[in-house]
Amino acid sequence: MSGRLRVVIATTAGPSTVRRITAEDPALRSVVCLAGTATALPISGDYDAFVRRPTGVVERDTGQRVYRVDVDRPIDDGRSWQLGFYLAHQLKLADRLAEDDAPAEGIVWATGTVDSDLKVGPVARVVDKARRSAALLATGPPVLAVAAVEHADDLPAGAAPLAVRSVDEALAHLGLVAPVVRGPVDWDPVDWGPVDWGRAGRGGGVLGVSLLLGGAAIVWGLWQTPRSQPATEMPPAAGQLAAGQPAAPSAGSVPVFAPARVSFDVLESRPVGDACGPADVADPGPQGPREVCAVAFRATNAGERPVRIWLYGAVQGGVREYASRRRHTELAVGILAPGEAAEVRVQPPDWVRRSIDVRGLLVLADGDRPQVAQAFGAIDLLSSAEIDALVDGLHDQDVEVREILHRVIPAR
Amino acid sequence: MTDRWRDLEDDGRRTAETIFSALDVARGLTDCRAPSRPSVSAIWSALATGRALPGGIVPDADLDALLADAASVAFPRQAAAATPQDGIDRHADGARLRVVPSLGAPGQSYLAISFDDPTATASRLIAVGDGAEPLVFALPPPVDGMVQILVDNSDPILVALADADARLYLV
Repeated sequence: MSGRLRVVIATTAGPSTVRRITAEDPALRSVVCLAGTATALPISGDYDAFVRRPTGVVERDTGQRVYRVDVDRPIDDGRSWQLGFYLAHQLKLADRLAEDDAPAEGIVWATGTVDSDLKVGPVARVVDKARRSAALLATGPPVLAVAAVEHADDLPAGAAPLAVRSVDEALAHLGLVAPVVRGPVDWDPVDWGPVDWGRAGRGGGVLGVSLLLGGAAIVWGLWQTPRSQPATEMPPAAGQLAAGQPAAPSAGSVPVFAPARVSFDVLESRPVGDACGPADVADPGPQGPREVCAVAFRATNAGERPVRIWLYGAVQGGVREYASRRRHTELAVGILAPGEAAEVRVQPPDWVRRSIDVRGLLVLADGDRPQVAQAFGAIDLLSSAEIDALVDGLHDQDVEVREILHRVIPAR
Repeated sequence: MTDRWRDLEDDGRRTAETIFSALDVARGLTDCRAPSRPSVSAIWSALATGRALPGGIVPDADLDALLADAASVAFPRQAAAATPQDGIDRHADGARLRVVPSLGAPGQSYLAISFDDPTATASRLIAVGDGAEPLVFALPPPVDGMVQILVDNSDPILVALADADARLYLV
């Protein structure tokens, strides 16, 4: 399957088609609606948690934190919609989701849970769901039925079965590229190993865009940009970066450290109407401007060789500790290829009526730094003072660390 | 009237409450609109217990005082009218209320109420305009300090929110 696909959520009441996915104002919460109406389905709260960091994976892997999904039939409860919704989000990101009445080359019939590591879990009553989808299978375009491996024998007859252990297997089958780097939720301080630079280069920017996953968008509002390889059957190749897994080593792949060619900037965004407007590069410093709705920190590799980066942005001070559940922080980790940029974006809490300091932290390395990986794996748990100590410690170890402290007054 | 009577000892407070009740009854007896107008105590009881407000309420200064006393957040009048399409944004001590047009469905909008205190809560939004019965809108529990509802743009609550003269209360 390489063209536009429709996604169907298998339920015991019959298949429910994903009609449309729309990015909404980031200040809102994600919602699942019934067929374009204002009826929010009961799963909306769980869906928001599935999207929103730190619990969710969709924001982490698409860079957008709030969505509205319209389905044509109710989905009442459970979590079996997660697999279908996740695949729909990835197809949407690749501009391959058949929405509304657009023609579809095929249908993805899915049921399963998805955890923070993107492992697909079994669900109840798959046989019943398959039975209730008989009419869908009897007519229309070909159907690919996707579920956890535990349900390999339960998938509906008449559909091409695809039993998977992880979402990545399903994405590969659909010709989509799995996310490369994820944020702190599923941080795994494992050594990723050397990277196949040749393949990354041929990927035509795939790595570059994927690097910004985990809620860190390369350019705000770019979520529609296709991240996948277009319209080609693309089985996962040896050495291809896979989510949370070490890449296969390849000869001559050791990056050369060129930290001086990596720039580090702070950007501000101001409200435009009810939305947060585009980001502009700002002068970092203590004299904060008013009405800032988002602050981003950007690392740009102007060198000729890749650099491994840890890029972190966080609201500082008591607000950060007080509001830790809201995670006014963002982390991007990965390898920055020549010409690529990575951003993390944080939103100052709009309920604060005074100046807020936002800290950007960039660590550059020529290869794996387990101590850095370990520190950043838990950085969201550190207080501002502990981060100060961490920075001092990294300096003492001659780690290339850059820091920006930027003061703003949040937009209300 | 101040709230100093609340500082009295038990006997004094009971006396004050008795006087207020008597005044309320007397007012009902002398008010020509009494038969169709609920008493202040009935309105207060409904506000305090979470029951539906009685019908026939006529907005006046007393009602605003009652609501202001019962509400956790009171939004004042606006300086200028707004429309849901333009985006409504009203601020008060303790909360912010916004109407954000849905990008996924142009005929719908999100009503988003964010509390300054993430642990704050309110079960009803009451809009009081001049000359009409208060409009009561049930609210779902807040999540991380925010209540969000999706409504059609023709929903009466949005019409009420667009009225610059409307007073809004989170109860």
